[in-house]
Amino acid sequence: MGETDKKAEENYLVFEAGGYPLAIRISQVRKVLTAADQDPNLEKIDLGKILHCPLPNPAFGLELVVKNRIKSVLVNRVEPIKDLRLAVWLSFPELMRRKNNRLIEGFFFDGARMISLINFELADN
Amino acid sequence: MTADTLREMSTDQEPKIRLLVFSIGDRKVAISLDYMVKILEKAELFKIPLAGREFKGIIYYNELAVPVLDWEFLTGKKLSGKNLLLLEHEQEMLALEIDERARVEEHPLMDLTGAEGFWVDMAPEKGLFALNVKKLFQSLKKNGV
Repeated sequence: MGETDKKAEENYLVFEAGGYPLAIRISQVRKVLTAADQDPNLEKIDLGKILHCPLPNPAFGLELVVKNRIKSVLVNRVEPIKDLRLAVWLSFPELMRRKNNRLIEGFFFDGARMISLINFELADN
Repeated sequence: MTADTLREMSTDQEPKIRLLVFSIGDRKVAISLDYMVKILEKAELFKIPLAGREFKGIIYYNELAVPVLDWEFLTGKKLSGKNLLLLEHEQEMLALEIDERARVEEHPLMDLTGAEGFWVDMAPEKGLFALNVKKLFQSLKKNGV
């Protein structure tokens, strides 16, 4: 099975954080909530800090399963669950690969947007 | 055979190198055609998170995400051009923003890969510098993991 097929067989939640369109595998998402409804007891992932960009007024919270633990992350906008089979899968360029961007697996290009596929399991911490 | 004819033959046989020459800011840049893939007149630049200071973002080209170099990394200045020059080295691609007046020139053969830095002085009085593309790719890869 090719890399393109592997990426296409799953559904993704597309969301926006700091102005960037991002996607995450549905299998890694437990809940989508408003920011106000987030469980304050969960361990938080600071996406603004990870992406080095401000996240003004995040409206939504995601509960994610990361390395078998439930963590929450605030994001600006959430889109309906997407089947990205028609988008072109683009591998992350090796020339740009750095330690801090390992969590970006590659991109879905739908003709208008470059949606970065994020995998928090690959993040440094 | 006259001396003039011999001189002409000698000139004709002088090894030459073909370079793409373009301007970026106040600098004229020459690049060996060996690395050149294509010049794109229109390509949308996409900003991506954690791209690194060496890059402005990526473009879509032929089912690939191709990084676009930020000239500030090489020149210390914020520079941009309307067209994109696609380069390839060891199966990696890189795009450089260039102006619209790029042209091919022939110059006497010189080593463009042995320089210590990224730039080789070709005719400093004319502001012409050759970019050591091999070193640029190596440096960008070395900065990685």
